[in-house]
Amino acid sequence: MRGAVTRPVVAVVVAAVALSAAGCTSGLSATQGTGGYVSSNGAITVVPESERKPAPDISGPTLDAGSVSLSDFAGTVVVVNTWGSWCTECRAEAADLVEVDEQLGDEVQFLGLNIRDNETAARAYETTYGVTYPSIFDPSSSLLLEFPPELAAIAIPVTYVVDVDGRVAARILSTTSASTLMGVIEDVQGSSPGG
Amino acid sequence: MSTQDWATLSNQAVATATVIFALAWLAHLAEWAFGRQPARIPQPALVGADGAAGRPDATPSPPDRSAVSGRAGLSLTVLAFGVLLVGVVARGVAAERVPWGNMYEFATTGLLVATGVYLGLVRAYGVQWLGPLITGFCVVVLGLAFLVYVDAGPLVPALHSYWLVLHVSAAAIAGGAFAVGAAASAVYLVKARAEARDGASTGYLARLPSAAAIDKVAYRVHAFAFPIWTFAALIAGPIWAQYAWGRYWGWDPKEVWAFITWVVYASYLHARATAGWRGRAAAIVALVGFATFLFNFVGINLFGSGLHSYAGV
Amino acid sequence: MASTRSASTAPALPSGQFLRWTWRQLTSMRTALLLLLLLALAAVPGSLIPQSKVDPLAVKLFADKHPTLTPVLDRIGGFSVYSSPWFSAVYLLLMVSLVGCFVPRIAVYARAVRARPPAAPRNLERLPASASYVTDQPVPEVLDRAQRLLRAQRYRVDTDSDTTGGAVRAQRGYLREAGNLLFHVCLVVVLVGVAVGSLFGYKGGVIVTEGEGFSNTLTQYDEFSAGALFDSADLPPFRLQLDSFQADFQLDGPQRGAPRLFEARGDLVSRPGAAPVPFDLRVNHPLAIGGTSVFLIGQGYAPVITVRDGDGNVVFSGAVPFLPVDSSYISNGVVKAPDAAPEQLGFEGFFLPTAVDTADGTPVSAFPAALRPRLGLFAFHGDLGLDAGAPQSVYVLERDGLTQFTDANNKPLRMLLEPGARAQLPDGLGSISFDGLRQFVKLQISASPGTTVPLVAGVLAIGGLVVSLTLRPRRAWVRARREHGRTVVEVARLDRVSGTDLGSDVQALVRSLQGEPTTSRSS
Repeated sequence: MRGAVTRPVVAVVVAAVALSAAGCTSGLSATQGTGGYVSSNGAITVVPESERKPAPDISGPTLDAGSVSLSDFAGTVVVVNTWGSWCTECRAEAADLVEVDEQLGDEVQFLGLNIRDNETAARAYETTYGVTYPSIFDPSSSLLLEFPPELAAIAIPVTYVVDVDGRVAARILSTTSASTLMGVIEDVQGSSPGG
Repeated sequence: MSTQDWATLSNQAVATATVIFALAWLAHLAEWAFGRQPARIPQPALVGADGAAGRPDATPSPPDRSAVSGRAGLSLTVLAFGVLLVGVVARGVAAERVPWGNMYEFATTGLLVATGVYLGLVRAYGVQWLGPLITGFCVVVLGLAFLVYVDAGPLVPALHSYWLVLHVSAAAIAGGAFAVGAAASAVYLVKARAEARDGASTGYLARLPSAAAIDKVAYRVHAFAFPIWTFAALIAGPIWAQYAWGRYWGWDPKEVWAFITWVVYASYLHARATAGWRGRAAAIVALVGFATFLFNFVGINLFGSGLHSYAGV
Repeated sequence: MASTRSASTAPALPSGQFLRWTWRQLTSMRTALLLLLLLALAAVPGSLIPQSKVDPLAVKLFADKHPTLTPVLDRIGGFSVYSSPWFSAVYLLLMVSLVGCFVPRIAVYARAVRARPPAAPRNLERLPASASYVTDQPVPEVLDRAQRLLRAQRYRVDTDSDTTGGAVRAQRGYLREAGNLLFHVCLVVVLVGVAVGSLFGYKGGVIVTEGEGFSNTLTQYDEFSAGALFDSADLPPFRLQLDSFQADFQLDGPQRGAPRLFEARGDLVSRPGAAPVPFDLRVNHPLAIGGTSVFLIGQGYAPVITVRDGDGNVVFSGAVPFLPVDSSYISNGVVKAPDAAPEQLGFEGFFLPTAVDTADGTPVSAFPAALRPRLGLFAFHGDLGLDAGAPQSVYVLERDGLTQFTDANNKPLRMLLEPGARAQLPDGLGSISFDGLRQFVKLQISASPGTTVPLVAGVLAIGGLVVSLTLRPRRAWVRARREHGRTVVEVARLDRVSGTDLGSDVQALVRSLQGEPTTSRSS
């Protein structure tokens, strides 16, 4: 009779111990130890129209000594792309971003967010890839803090799509291709009223 | 007095204490040598010519040379303790901080604790038979401490914390007590083997208390030291590590060996409660535990290169 | 000549009984003892072989020195001993043994606490500490006196009586087992609490150079890891700006070169829109922002470097952290200019805070402070490999697509720059200059939630431990019976934990019993 009481208790305690041993493993997928930055395994999130939150009005100095803010482009779909000249995944998608920018013309505005970089290296990157859209120079990623936490920038590169009403509609967490980006932009345009 | 004067006083005091410990050790060795003969027993009563029992021999027996040497050794140990205390305190004044920030200081403070524990036990339980081992250990370690001597000076930034007082002092106290416990366990092993062989009725061993009594002393010392070591290595250490290095436990070599020491002493306590392991096996486990503590102190500090290498050398 | 053995062996236990036997063996003291010793032994290799979580650089050096041994060790978990399966097996088995032992003991103890003290053995003389005496006092008086004496010594007392007399049974030291159980239970609570807390915690590292800032988003970290239940939305959105960093080293004496002070100053904005608050970060004094702490765990130098390409454009200009290798702060670093034209440029080299001119040119730094800074670089041109998309460490130059510049003697070109100097690259492919020097700090940002429970449990564990090691449970019995017109009194004591000398205690009890005549009875 004694065993009937103690054995389940023991089983529970042992299970707790085993669970906690399993807890020793790390779970977050965005883990990078040696590269000096955190890269991700890629995920595309398109937010349903009813759940979109307003995008922060990010603003700051641009790489060509001007300044720009997101509200300058109110009424247009804006693609905000975070990049650095040192980041290989960003370099791999740079040409695709420029291509989509040229293809869609005035329909869509591209806005870059340059992080962890120095200005001259960033400008050299723009020259290499023929980037004509403005980029905000934000070496400490301070503007990324303002995005909604559920859609946090958990790796680089990260590309946000802001709809015509200034709300965050999509997040792409990996190197993107021209076709993928086009697809996401169409999704966002299609699902926004008056899009 | 300037800090330089205090530093000089400290060095002279520690050196003097080393010499006094050496003399105490010699006295204990003499006690041992003289003790090889059994203590003089009084002569039987003389029977008078008329058959009446005569009075016992009235002349006093010659003084027991062994006991005299032993008392001299104990007095010298008390003196050495006092002088070493001066040395440790002066070191603290010279460095303007607690005197246990590097290997040299940890050694002198730890020995001070070991001697203090020994003297306290002498008062409480009469453990003078630990004298030879304790004084010998102090001489050897103090001598070796001079090899890792560094001038009194400030500490590296990682040691700027009041946890230095708590964590390291607790480790030093536990270590000093472990040393006494190890000495008692070693004596126990010798006496137990002698008792098993021939009843230990002759020579110096006969003057030692029974193996059971020695075992009792060893247990009490370990029972005092183990909770302090638990606090030092498993509570204060991790809390300080979190402030200094941002993690509670990182398995660096010193942490690993502190853990090993803890586990071995825990095994000692378990062994005392397990049939077949009481007595000699448990005493051996206690000695292994002290060996791991010494390895932690010497080996890891001098040869390891983790975050914990604060030998200062 | 061997004796004949019976042909049949003992019958095998049925599986149910075999499991029970296994369980009983596992939860026995002897097994616990052996597992403890095994745990100690199993922990040893992790302190002798470099561990990847403790010192990755040492692992790399070990791999270079022992190329054949390294893969073998890697297979058996030699470089991550404490998360290896075999180490985990030992401590998990120990945990099971521990839990399986103390849970029934709790029930046993609960019953024992409520029960009467155990009855006296029939033959008290057989106990190791016993005595007896004869007295004229009547039995009830003797027993009454015994009860009062034992109660005064804090025993729990009970009496029996039978036809010939009676007995007093007493026990004390009940708290010892409580302390013992408390310690072992708290041990498990601490381990489980720490493991559960780590599920929700995170730890990241980042290098921040003077003049730069850090925002707490994953894009800013150099390395990051978190527990399985951590949600990146839980990162507190703070930003800190590092204005200055001061590192002082001992200038003279035998500890010359030892670090004395590391202090980082700047401003902290705890969330977007909040006012900046100045901070002062030192070793042992982390910043606390909500549940997250920022620790200063390292520092070094970041030379300010400008690279011009073959077309004359400035393609890189900024501070580059060079990572220190040892306590003299000789540091290694890499500069990449992937947008240099016509060819990409890469540089790899060392920084010496206090350079010493050596005969053979080996780089040596004599002191960790920047008293005579020199930057030594080897230069490469070609394809840095950054455009393909595969991740590349910012501290490592991938040389596959690169050609090294050589000097006039066809040896690798080595440029040694002092602050303000510029070196031209051969073939008009550009130049590099060492403009100035800044310092960087290595920060660790981490959150370890759920530390209250393990802390409280740890303190209680020590309390329980002290109680279990100092209290000595004891039993005492006093039996009195009438024999031949007098009262025969037998006294005995039993120490439940070995190691005490009870003989004198029994004599003392006898003397107290025989002591002054009682005053409770009126004559």
